[in-house]
Amino acid sequence: MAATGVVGAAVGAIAGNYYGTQTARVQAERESEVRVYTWSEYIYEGLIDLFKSTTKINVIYDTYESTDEMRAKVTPGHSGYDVVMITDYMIPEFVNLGLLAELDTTLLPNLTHLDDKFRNPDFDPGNRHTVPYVWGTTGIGWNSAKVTDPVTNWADAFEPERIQKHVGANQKVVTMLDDMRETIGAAMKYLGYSLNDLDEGHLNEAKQVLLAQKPYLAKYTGALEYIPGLSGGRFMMSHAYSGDVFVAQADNPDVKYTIPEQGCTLWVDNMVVLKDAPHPVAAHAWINFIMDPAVMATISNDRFYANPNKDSLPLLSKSLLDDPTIYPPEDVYKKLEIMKPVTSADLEKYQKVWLDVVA
Amino acid sequence: MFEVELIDVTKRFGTVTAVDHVSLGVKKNEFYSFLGPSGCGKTTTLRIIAGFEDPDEGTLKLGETVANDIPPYKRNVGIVFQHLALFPHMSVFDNIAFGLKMANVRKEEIRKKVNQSLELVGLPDLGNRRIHQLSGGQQQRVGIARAMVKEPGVLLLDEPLGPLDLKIRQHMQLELKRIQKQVGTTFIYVTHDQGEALTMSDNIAVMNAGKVEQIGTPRVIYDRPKTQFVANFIGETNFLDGNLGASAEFVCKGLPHPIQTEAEEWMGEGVLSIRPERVSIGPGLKGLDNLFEAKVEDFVYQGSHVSVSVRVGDNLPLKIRTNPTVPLKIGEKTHIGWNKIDATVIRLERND
Repeated sequence: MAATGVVGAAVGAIAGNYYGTQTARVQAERESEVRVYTWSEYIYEGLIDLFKSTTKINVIYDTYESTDEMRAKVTPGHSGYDVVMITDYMIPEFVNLGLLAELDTTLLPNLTHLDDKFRNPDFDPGNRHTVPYVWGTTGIGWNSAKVTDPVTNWADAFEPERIQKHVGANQKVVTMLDDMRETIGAAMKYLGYSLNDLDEGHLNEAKQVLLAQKPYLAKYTGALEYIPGLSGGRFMMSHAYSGDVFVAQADNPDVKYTIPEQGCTLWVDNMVVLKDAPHPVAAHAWINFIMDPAVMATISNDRFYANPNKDSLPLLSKSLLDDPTIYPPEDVYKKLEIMKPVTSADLEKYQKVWLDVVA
Repeated sequence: MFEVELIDVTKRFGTVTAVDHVSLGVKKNEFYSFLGPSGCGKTTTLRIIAGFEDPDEGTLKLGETVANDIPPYKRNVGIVFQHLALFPHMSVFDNIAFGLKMANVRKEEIRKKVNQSLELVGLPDLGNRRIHQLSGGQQQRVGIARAMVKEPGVLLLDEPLGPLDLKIRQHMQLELKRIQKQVGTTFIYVTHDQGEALTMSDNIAVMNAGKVEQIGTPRVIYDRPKTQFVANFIGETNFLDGNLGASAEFVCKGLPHPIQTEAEEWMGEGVLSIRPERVSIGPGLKGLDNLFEAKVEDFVYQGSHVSVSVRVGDNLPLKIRTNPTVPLKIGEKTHIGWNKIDATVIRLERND
C-alpha cells in the first residue's frame, strides 16, 4: 500500500486550507505530535491510544489540578502546548491576552455534531476560538448516609437552622468552593438573583448570607479535598463540580449530587488551540477526533459528564441520560446560568465582598 | 533484506538509557517478539519503529528505506495497543471502519475492506453485533481487524492480551498466531510473558536493561540460553558454577567428578544451566552421560509433575521436575543424571 497511507493523504488534503497549499503540506509533514493540556481525570485513557493508532500522531497528554496552575503555565506564552482546556468565563481573558488562535473550521468537519445550544456562546461569539468539550453544573455534593434529610435547596447549605437540621450535632462538616465567583454566585442563586447580577445591594445581601454560613463551615476548598472528604465522610455537604461528585460516588455510593431548586452555575469546558502552538494542524486533528460522536459518548459514559454533541446522544448509556443531575430536564435547565466574564471594575465589586467574607 | 531493521539504535531519556545499542532484524512475515521485564526497553523500541520516539543514535530501516526521519503517519505500520478503546454500543463493523471513516474513504471501499478484515480474523458474520455482546477474545479480534483494515506491512502489538483471563489468553495466543500466518503480515509483539513469547514467536529478542541479551527461535532461547539472564527469565533452571576445560568437561567445585557437556568453542569460567525437567531421578539410574548420587530433601506434588529438591556432592542444591510415578522418600539417597544435550554452559562475561 502507498507509503503515504490513508490518513497521511487526509492530513495533507485538509492541511491545504490552513496556511495555503505548499507551506501547509510541509507543516503537516512535521506535525507527527500533538501536546494536550487539560484537567486530570477528564478522558477515557484508551481514546488517546485510539487517536495514536488511527492517525499516527503521537500524543503528549499533560494534566492540571487547578485553574491557577493552568494559568501560570499558559499565560506567559511558549508553554509548548497545542490544545488547552479552558473554562468558559476565562476565555475572554485569554483572547484579550492574544493567546488563542482563531480556529480553522475547515479542519473541524465534526463541528456539524455540535448542539445548537452551544454554538455562538457569550464567552466566545461565533466559536472563533473554542470548541466545547463537556459541560456540568456546580451544585452540592452530600453524603446521604450522614445527613438526616436529602439536600435539595441552597437553603440547606446556607441557613443555619437548615444546616443544623441536616448535620445534627456535627460541627464544621460543610464546605464551599474556594472560588470567589462560584461561591458568591451560589449565594446569589439562593437569594433568587441572577448569577451575573452586579447590583451592589444584591451583592451585599449575598455577603450577609455567606457570613451567616461561616460559623458552620469547615473551609473554602477544592476538589482535591472535597472528593475524598465526601467519600470518606469527613464532609457532609460540599459545594462542588458535578463530575467530581460522581467520582466520589464511584468510591462511596452514599455520596449524591444535587442541583439545588433555585438553580446553579452551568459551566462549559472548552478546547482551544494556542496561538503559538507548535503543531496547529495536529491540534485541529485532536479536537476533531474528540468531536466524533462515538469518542464523545465514550468520554461521557466513562467520566459522567454531559456533552454538547447532539449526535452522541444515541450512544450514551441510559444511566447517564436518565440522571436529571447530569442531563437536567428543561424546567431545571432553565434555571442554570453560565458565568459571564466581567470588566475589572466589576470584578472589584466581587472582590470587595469576597475579602470581607474570607477575612 | 529485513522488513524492519534496527542498527545500533540508542535512545536516552535524561540519564536513563532506555534502548542501548540495539541491533536486530525482523524478516517479512515473521512473528517476532520483544520479550523482557518491565523497563527493559521493549516498548520504547516498539515506539521507535512506530515513529513516536526518535533514536538518539543508530538507524531504523523499514525495508530498504532509512526511516529515522519519516513521520509516523507515513510509515506503513499499524499499531494495536492494550487499551483497545472499542466503542461498546456501536457495531463491530462501525468500530473497524472508524479509522477509514475518519480519513474520508469511500463507502464502497470501506465496506470491502471491513468485510475482508472480518474474514481475516474469523468473525465474518458478526459485523452487526454490538461490541458489548462479544466475548473478550472476540473483542481482541475486532481490535486486530481494526488495525489490519488499512493493510499495514507491519503490525506492532503492545501487550494486547494483558487484560484477558488466562484461558482466553492462551486461546488468543494461538488465534493471533493463526491470524498472522493467514494474513502473512509481519507481527512485532511486545510482551513480558515468556510463555506467550514461546508459544507464538518465530523469533524472540530477549531484552534486559535496554540491551538485547539474545535473539533466537523459541527452542534456541529455551534450550541454549546465552546468558544467565535469559536462562533465568525463561522458565526455571539450575545454575552450577565452574570451569569449562578441554574435551568438553565442566569442572564444578563440590561435585565428585566433572560434568560432560556439548562441545563449545571456548574454555574458562562459566555457569552450567540445566532445567529441572531435563534432570532424571531415580534409584539405579543408568545410561546417561552424567550421573550423580543425590539426597532427596523435599518434593511437592503438582499434578502433571513432582517438583523435587535434592542435594548433590558437597550439598549443592538442585531442583528437578519428574514424573509422579518415580518413587521418592525424603532423606533417602538416590541418583540423578542427564545427557550432554540437556544442559548448556554459559560463558561468564569477563570484566576487563
